[in-house]
Amino acid sequence: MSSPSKVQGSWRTPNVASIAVAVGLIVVASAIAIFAPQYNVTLLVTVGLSAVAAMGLTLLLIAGQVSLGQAAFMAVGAYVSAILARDHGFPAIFALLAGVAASAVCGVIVGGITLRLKGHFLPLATLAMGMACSAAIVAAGPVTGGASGFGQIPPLSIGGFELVDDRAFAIVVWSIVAVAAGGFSRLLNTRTGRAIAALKTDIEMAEVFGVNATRLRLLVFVVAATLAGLSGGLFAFYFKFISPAPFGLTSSINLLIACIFGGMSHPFGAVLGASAVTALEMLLQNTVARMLGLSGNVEMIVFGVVLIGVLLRWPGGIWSALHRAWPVFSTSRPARNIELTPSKRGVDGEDLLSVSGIGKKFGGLTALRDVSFSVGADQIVGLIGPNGAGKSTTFNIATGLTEPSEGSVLLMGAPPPSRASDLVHRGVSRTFQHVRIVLERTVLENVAFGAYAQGRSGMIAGMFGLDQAEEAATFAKAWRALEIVELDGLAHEPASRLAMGQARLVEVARALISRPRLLLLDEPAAGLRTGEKLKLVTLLHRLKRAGMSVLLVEHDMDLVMNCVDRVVVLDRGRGLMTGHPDEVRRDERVIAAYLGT
Amino acid sequence: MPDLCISGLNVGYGRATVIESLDLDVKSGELVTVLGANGAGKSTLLNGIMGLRPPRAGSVTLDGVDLAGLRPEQLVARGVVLVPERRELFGSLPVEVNLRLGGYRTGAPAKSLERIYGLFPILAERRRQKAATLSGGEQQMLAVGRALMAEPRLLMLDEPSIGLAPLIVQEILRVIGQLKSEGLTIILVEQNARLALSVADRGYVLEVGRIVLEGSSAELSADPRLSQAYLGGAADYAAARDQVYVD
Amino acid sequence: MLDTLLFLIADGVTNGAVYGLLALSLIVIYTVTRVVNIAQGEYVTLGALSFASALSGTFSVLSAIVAGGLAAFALKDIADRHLTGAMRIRIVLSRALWIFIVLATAWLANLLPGSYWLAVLASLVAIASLGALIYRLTVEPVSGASPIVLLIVSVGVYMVLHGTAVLIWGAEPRSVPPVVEGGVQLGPVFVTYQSLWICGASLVAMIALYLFSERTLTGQALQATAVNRTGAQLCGIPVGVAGQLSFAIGAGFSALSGLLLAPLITANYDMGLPIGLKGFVAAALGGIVEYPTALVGVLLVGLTESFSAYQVSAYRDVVVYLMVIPILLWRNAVRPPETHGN
Repeated sequence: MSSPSKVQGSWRTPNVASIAVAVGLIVVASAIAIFAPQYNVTLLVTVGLSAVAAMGLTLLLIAGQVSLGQAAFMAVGAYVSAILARDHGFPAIFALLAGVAASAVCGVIVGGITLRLKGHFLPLATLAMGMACSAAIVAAGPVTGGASGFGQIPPLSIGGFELVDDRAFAIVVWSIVAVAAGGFSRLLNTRTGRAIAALKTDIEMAEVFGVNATRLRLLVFVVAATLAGLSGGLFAFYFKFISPAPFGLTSSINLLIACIFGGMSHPFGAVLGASAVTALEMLLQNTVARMLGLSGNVEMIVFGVVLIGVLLRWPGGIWSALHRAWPVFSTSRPARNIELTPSKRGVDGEDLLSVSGIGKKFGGLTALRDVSFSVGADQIVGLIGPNGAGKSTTFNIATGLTEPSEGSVLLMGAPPPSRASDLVHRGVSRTFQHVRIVLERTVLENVAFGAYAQGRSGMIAGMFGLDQAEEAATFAKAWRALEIVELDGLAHEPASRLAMGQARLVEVARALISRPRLLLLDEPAAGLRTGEKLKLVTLLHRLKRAGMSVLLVEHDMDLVMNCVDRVVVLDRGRGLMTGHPDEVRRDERVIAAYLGT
Repeated sequence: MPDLCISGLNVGYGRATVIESLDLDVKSGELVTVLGANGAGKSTLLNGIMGLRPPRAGSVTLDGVDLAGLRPEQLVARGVVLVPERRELFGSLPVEVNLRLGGYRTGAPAKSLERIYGLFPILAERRRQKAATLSGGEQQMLAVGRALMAEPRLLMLDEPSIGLAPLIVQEILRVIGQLKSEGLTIILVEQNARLALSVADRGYVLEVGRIVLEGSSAELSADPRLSQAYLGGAADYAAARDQVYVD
Repeated sequence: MLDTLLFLIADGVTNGAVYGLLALSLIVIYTVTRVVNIAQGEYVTLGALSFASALSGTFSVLSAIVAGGLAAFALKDIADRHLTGAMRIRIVLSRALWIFIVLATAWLANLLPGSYWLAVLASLVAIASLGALIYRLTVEPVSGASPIVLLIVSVGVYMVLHGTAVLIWGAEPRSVPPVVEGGVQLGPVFVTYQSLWICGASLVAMIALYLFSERTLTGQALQATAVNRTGAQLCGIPVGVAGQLSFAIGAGFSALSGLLLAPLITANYDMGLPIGLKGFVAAALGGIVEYPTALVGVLLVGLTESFSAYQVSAYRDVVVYLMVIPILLWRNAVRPPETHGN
């Protein structure tokens, strides 16, 4: 077994990286704040404020969600803070907190309503919400000052200390940027961060490993809304004047552009993106527009062209081009050796999976009828049949993904859980027919995600490093799982560089680390070369010896015959026969089903 | 009449190479079948020829004319037509519109339409029905009919028998036989090996993207290695298994 | 009371007719190319403004830009090495004719200022051609990308077109005369001729689109591309051309709605976006794929708008924009959009 190629040193590397990001940002920003001319300090604050909101949006994009109305949450933060502080005599700091809380509440409401929307419906809904928010501010003139806005917002004060100095304000803003950037940077390399990345790849896959997708998606949406609200509230207290203009569609789009510039994959990228957008804006205003004597619309055209150009060149964002150069922050192999034994869930002596008389109708068509079989302890059972025989349907019914029209399923002695995220708690794990791994992450991180259900640490713990013991244990297990599938030499490779066979084995390792009693493999050998298939057979028998049961759906008959204790043959939606591999191999009906009659 | 010549073809999806340096010839007027187990790369091969999945390397020529880099519609204009495995019909449009669209390049003359209705009389009866309401067998006939509307020189059929009742399969085979007797060059991809070999002149057997066997239909039918390619048996899995229990 | 009601209905139907053209534009483009076109409203703006120019006898810079773009793509097409001689000649001739029509209509409108129909023709030709160009520039290169990427690209197009409109025409609104001044008393309600013209022209345009897609092979090919892109490719339908055609139709319809509406609200650079969004609200009712449902949506949006303008006037737009959320939720529950392209 080869040693890890790239990353050496302690497993704290992600901590070091995030602290470096935070310290670097605050040092550079403070230096500018203290020594730069007044005009640049205002710019610095502007960049910092949009960076705060852009980081939230980046987190949202990492989770696979797109918002075209993020500026509306800024507006809520700004207007609630400003109105409370100016018209209702709230102390500024409490007004700010109330504004942030109001955006968070709006995030819960809007997210709760819209996050069930699929595909492009979510960006459309957020776009409409943003437009409605702008229109509402104008319409509520008596309270909000309408289209012209209002001024005389008191300065931000903390415990009697008034934050009137621009330079001090800039340092406060950038401290927030630094904490958020450092925290998110660490978060992405932890349990919750891996789950967020998995959400973007495939929600169903994330749920199989125990992620409550609905809750996590909402959490990310609320965090993004909260950061936008904080940005808006600080905006109000800095400029002491607000109007609907800075919170319109253009601002939402500029935030999105900042995130896309920054790569949509890292909070630090959002900071860079926000800086780049502001810098480009200044450049255009000060040079091009002035030289050519054109109005500010040139800047809009240029931004549009750059946005289109970037997306045409790199449809995955600039990140897809940069991420090879980005250092890998991951953990190296631990010294101690641990064993991955299957959990002892389920009742002894009983079948782990028992399927009796199941059938499925889709519309008027009968896809499956009267299929029965069981998987006992320490058994490998193969499920085979030609194309369209009903293997996938059977597989999905067995895991509770599809409800059978007739018959019943017992998984560890009980009906399959209604929520996919409970499957892993039953001691069941699976792989997918079409490989579903997180291409942007390393092999090791992909495997580590499999341990999600055994961990407890959440977002805050991940941001501020309160989960170190848990992470160490997770990565120790991930290394072990990679050793078992003999891919430890590729631990720090991005998953996007794997060949098909390797990617399938990563899925197996990811399933192993969740310590299942029953492992469901969906065509693990499809696309594998002969050598890889031989390895797979060896692996399956090692797992069986370690006390794991396996249900194997596979096309390669010979591979199945040499692996399994029992074979279930399906043909055209019906159970053709169940038996020992040797019986099945000799059966005329099976040969006919495969070769044709 | 066309001669199709494929050499060194590489086709892949994302990170995986599915078809690797594959050579294949089809002579004018021949019916050649490509056999193989699931996942062997049969559909990928046809999609590669058709430009749906542009090949990464190798050449495809028809009568000496290079077809590499052409888009599917340009291939159709050159007489290369595919009946895909999933049929890809226009479900919400009537049968007749589906057929007319098959003849998009030629302006869908009434004569061609009559010919298709002659081959598949059931389609004439269903001409005003939406394609999605047809039975599986009728949809397959429509898919073949739509392809013929383009007046192909080379017709490629991807698993036309899949999921169909034996009687319907016979009906489709009858038409394939008739087209062959009219001199059309055909590539037939099938999972049902015996069925395909009963109509084909020659066959190739694919295994994980490579040709492992080729010969006349009679030779292939008699070759025990054919069933091996389907049922596996090439690798020594038993040794791999036993290795676990040695230590 | 009845008078008010009838007035509101007439107003709502007129607005609905405008949004209807927008909704159809969005649907044609979305079904054929999977682009959720955020930039759709900008074609409304450009249509209204170039109509105003043409009517006042100013040669539209936009027509020149469009002609230049068409020429550039024509050169690119002619360079294709797979072409035979005859095909190349056909491309040269067809592109030359296209460019000629764009320039000739603009030039004629310039020669004969005040000619309503010539101005309509010149601006529709220019904007429809612009739509085809935008497709080739921004969609064709990423036609396999996810709908989300296509959507964000269209945000970029929105910015470019919006900025270009201000650059060419400035921020000053332009008043545009109606087709015929005055109106007619229909029972208790006075309806302007322009309103009747808006409804009539929209209806004619919609019927024309219907006949085109049902009765012609090209129209059916467009439908086929929408229903099954792979299937269309396998029939030899050039899906790139279908995409251009859908963008041309979409842009043309939106431009038509802009030049119809301009006399009621004056043509200005900012008019497009809200109209585009309201078209979205209507189209969303049919999941941006179903025409008949979208037309119900159009009336719903038009009427909601005019009634809320009466009831809670300041919050009219808030109500209309927020309508999209329950509509999307309903649609999502009935038939969610595919998340991975086709």
